[in-house]
Formats: sequence, structure tokens, C-alpha cells
Amino acid sequence: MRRSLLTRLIGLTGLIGLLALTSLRTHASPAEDPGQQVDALHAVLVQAMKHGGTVAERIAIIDDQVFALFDFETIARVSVGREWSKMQPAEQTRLVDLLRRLSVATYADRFDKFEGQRFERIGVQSSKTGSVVKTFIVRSNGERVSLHYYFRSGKIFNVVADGVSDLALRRSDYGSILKREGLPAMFEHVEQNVAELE
Amino acid sequence: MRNSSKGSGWALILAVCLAATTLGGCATLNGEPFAVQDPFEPVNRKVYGVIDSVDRRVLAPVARGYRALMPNWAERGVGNFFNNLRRIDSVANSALQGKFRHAGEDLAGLLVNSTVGIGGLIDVGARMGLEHHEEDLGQTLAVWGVTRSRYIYLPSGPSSVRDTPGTLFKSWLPELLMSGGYSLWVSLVDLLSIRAAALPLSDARDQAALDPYVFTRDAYYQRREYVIFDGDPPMDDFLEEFDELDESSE
Repeated sequence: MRRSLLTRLIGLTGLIGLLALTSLRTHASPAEDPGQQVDALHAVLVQAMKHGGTVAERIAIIDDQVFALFDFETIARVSVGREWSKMQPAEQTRLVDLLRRLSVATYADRFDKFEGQRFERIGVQSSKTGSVVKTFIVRSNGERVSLHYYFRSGKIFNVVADGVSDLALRRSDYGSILKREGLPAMFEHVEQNVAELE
Repeated sequence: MRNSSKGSGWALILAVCLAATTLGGCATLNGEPFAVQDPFEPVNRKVYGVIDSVDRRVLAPVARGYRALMPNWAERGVGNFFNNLRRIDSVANSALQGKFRHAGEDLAGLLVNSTVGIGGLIDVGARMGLEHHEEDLGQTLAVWGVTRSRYIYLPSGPSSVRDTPGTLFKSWLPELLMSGGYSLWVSLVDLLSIRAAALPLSDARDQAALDPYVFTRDAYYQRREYVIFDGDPPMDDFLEEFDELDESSE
């Protein structure tokens, strides 16, 4: 009986130790560190620029990384505001998918050729609700554009380029169309933008 | 007598603000909202519609042609020339905000570019690490406490009640400094150079915007807040604002 208790204690201690180790490994994993996640995104963007080619080819290079790093459901929910709760699940899924395609196609369109651009990570700032990874893209002529990546729950939900927030802008823009023309028109406009980019 | 009293009152406010900014920013700036205010939206939309139509039919295609025909070095030289003239605005407004190091850098850049840089055609200052800080009267007024401002869409582009005097002054600066040399042709080249430089921004707007008027207006407000805080607006403002936005979506 005593031996059995000892065995259980050893087993339990081992399990706790294993869990602790797993937890430590999870936190130390590059995939969990916002700074390194952004570095990985930038590496893929440089790869796409160096590849050049067609938009479709660059989309194929970028897609997986963007899909893994961005929280498109949060982006979609915040973009349409109160309309989100009124939408059918199929419509919500459709919007999330459209925004993913739009983001990937936009990256593929903007990062189309390599002309000596480089990315610089200047720091990670954390707060109670999330963190911000601050970076610059530096062009070959020395021109710098700041890119700040906002993280919450381990994923990017907003990118701020030279002070202009993608998410805040999208919320106003989509909100205006929803108010003026309604949900079907909003879908039509977004689909048109995606088609033009892809 | 009343004027003199008003004058000394403004001088006192200016002195207090200058002292405050020197010590790290006017107290009224931090925490003040920079929310969009658009009570003139119906008129602004009409002006935007007319200007946008002219831009799409005439100005943007001509600017694309200008960009295609001009060699990169020539296009950069023309842009540098007019930017250098407008740098006086940055010198004055950096000083008015108490950013004397920025004012010094811009003044040094202006002098170096105007002499060694052949009248401003070559941005020698940038190669020497003299950053162009791009301060204007609107930013100065914001640092002095005028944070809230109504949106106005001018024929020259987005602006606000607070930013309009500075926008007009900045547009007029090359003419003021070149006096007789600023002919109609020079002003057209200035306009084309500005429009050509803005092509990537208008292309990005066309790719992303569903309502280009709202997109332009909100981007303008955000960008202004960013430059007013010298590229470092309070981070918590956005994260807290985001939480409120997210809750209102549920």
C-alpha cells in the first residue's frame, strides 16, 4: 500500500514535471514569441519579393504564414461591429475567408519586387491586454515606414503603418457602407476588391 | 490697449506651452481624444466627389505619365527642391513646439541642401543623417492644446479647421520664397511632383476602400495624430479602444 502510494507520488511528480517542461517549452517556442512571429512573417515577405513572379505565385508563398499569424475572425468581427451578431454563421465564415484572401492578396501586391528593402525590429511593448511589435521597413534609399503589429491571444489583429491602423480604418469604412448600402453591398464591394487584387 | 492686453495673453499662453513642451509635451495633449469630427460631411462629400473626379480624369493620369517619363533621379531632384523650400515651415514649427534639436537639424539640412545640394535638388542633409521632421502649424496648434478639430476636404486634399492655415501656408511657401521665379509652369511641376509622390497612397486607397471618402478622412485623422505625437502615440489608447470596439461587436 505504502509502495503503491510512493509509486503514485513519483508518477504524479513526473507528470507535473513533464507538464512544467512542456509549458516551458511552449513559452520558449519561437512560434509563441510575438517578435519572432513577426520576423517569420517578414522573412516570408522578403522571400516573396525576391521570387517576384505573378501575384498568384506570391500568394502561394505568403498564404500559410499570414493564415497562421493573423486572427481573421477577430478582424472580421471588429470590422463590421454590431452587424456581426446579426449575421448568419455562413455569412460570418464567408467574411472571415474574404478578409483572409484580401489581406494575403494585398501583401502579395505590395511586396512584389525586391529592391533592397529590409525589415528592422525595434522592440516589443507589452500591456495588460496585449503586445505591440514595433518594426520598420527600410527602403534602399533609406526611407523608413513604421509597421506596428498588435497582438492579442498570440495572434495579430491589427497592423498600423506610419500611424494608420488597418483595423480602425476598416471598421469605419465597412461601417459606412453597411449604414449606407447594407450587408449584401458590403460583400459585393469586398469581393470586387479581392477579385481585382487576385 | 485691449489689443496689447490680448497680445500679452497669447504671449503668456505661448510661453507656458513652450515651457511645457520643452519639459516633455503640453499637458493638454496627452489623453485628449483625436476623434473624427465631420459636421460638414454633406458639403465635404460633394467637394471630395468633384476633386476626385478631376483627379481620376486629369491629374492622376498626367502624374503617372510624369512618373513614367521622368528618370528617377530627376523626379527625386524636383521633389527634393520643393521639399527643401517647405522645410522652413518645419524649422519654425519645431521651434514653436520647443523641439529645438529638431529645429536645428532641419535648419542645418535646409542650409546644406540649399548650398552643397545645388539649391535643394540633392538631399545631402539626409546622407549626413539630418532628418526632416515635417512639422507644420497644425501640429503646433495641436501641441498647444487644439486637439479636436473639424474635418474639411479642401481642393488640395484632406484637412481640418485647425490644419487649414498651415496647409495653405505650406502650399504658398515656394511662391513666397521664389517670388517672380514661381511661374505657372513651376507651380504645375510642383503640383505634379506632389501628386506623383502620392500615387502609391491613392492606389492603396483604391484597392482597399469601400467608401473612399470615409477611408481618406479617417486615415487623415490617424496620420495627423501619429505625426503630432512624433510617431509615438500612446499604445494603450488603441488597445483599450480595441477592447471597447470588440465588446460592441458581440
